[in-house]
Amino acid sequence: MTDRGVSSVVSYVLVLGIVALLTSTLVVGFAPFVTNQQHETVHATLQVLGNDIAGDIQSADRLVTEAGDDGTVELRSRLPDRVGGSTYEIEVLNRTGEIEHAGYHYDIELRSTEPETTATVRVRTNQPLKGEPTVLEGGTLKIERSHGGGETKLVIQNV
Amino acid sequence: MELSVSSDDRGQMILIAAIGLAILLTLLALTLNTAVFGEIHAAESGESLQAERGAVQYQYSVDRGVSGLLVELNRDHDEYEALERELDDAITAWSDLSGAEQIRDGERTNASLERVTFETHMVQDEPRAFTDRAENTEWVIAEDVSEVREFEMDVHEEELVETSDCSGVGGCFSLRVEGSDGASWELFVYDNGGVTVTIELASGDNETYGPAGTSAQIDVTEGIFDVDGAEEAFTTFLDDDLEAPYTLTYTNADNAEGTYGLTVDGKIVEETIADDERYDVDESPKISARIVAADVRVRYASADLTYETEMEVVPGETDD
Repeated sequence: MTDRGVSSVVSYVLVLGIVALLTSTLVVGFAPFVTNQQHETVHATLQVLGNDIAGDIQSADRLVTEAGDDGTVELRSRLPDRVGGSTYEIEVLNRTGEIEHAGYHYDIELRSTEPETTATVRVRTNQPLKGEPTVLEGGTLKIERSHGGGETKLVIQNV
Repeated sequence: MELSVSSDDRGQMILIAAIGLAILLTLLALTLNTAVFGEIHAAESGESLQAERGAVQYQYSVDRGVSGLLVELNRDHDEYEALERELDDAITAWSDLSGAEQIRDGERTNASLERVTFETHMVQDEPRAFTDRAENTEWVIAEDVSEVREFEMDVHEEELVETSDCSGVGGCFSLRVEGSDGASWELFVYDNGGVTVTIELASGDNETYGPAGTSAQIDVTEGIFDVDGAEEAFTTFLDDDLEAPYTLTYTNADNAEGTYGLTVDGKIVEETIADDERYDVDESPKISARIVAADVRVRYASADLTYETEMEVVPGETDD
């Protein structure tokens, strides 16, 4: 009868061992896929957010043109604080000098730290654009018309 | 100690393995959740576009509304003060009504009148002497006006002074336009065998046209002296060396009879038209005030957008 007790223990160990082996194979096998997938997803999300910001900038830009000289425009761009569990930064880079077409041209660069990836979206405006500070944090942004320095411009800030 | 395993006990193992797998799959799903979030966020974007559309639509509706109001008010009222007051009241009422509708969509809107630009139309549409309502023979038609439009007069021969040279006699009817720089341009109308006009330019030079028949049409702003259908062109005060604003004066107005009509920018009476001794609202010479432009402040606020602008609304004219 004691032999039967041994066999059940062995059976337990075997089953647990097989389950552990399967689980670890699954995790190890899927890990690169998951990491890669996360990287791509974060990149795609940053691009979506970049396009969102670009769309909001253009909305504000059109409204400033519509409002004329003494108008007020303040537009909020509601973006998530984190993408894929990681914080991200937004930077507006002036590309006006590099492009021959009329208007002002900017690259909106979104950078996440974990995973490390960057998405860039180009935007064309009728007014100069400026980030205050130069590098913004992810989250809700405020795009505002400013008359500072005698020049009408769009200013993007964190809220 | 009983170590035998019954068939019931084996179920526990399957349960533990199933829970383990469930936890694993949940963790996997959580990791991949960012993809789902990205999709959801992409589907939700476009809110600011909606806000932009809301603001622009509201601005256009104010434009259309006020433009229509102006046409109606210009038709119903003659006095400057009444026009401005009625427009202000109408815009406030319209804004309150529209605001109550917009607030249901979470949008706060407001439109208010900032200032109006008047135009004054002066007309003598029944033939009489060119005197004012108080029968003054020398009187100022309009003072300090920045623009004069469509000034036409139809002068009959009967009352005109018969002479061959107005500089010799003092009684010729004349229209004198004085610029802000003190220079003046003067148009004399007299009878030299028919209606004749002489224009004395700011430089002191003279131009004479006519004689026409028993009556003549003079387009003061276009510079056309119509002699029985044959048009002669003369130098207008607009083409002469005069600087706006202008002051227009009739002299010896009892020595001319006929009709005239002109339009100038701005208000030309201090108080109400009814209180002005020169003009009337119903009897010639009469004036009617019109609003040619209204500056309206438009405010629109939604959860994501604050928009404010001042726009000029012209009666009967919309942007779209």
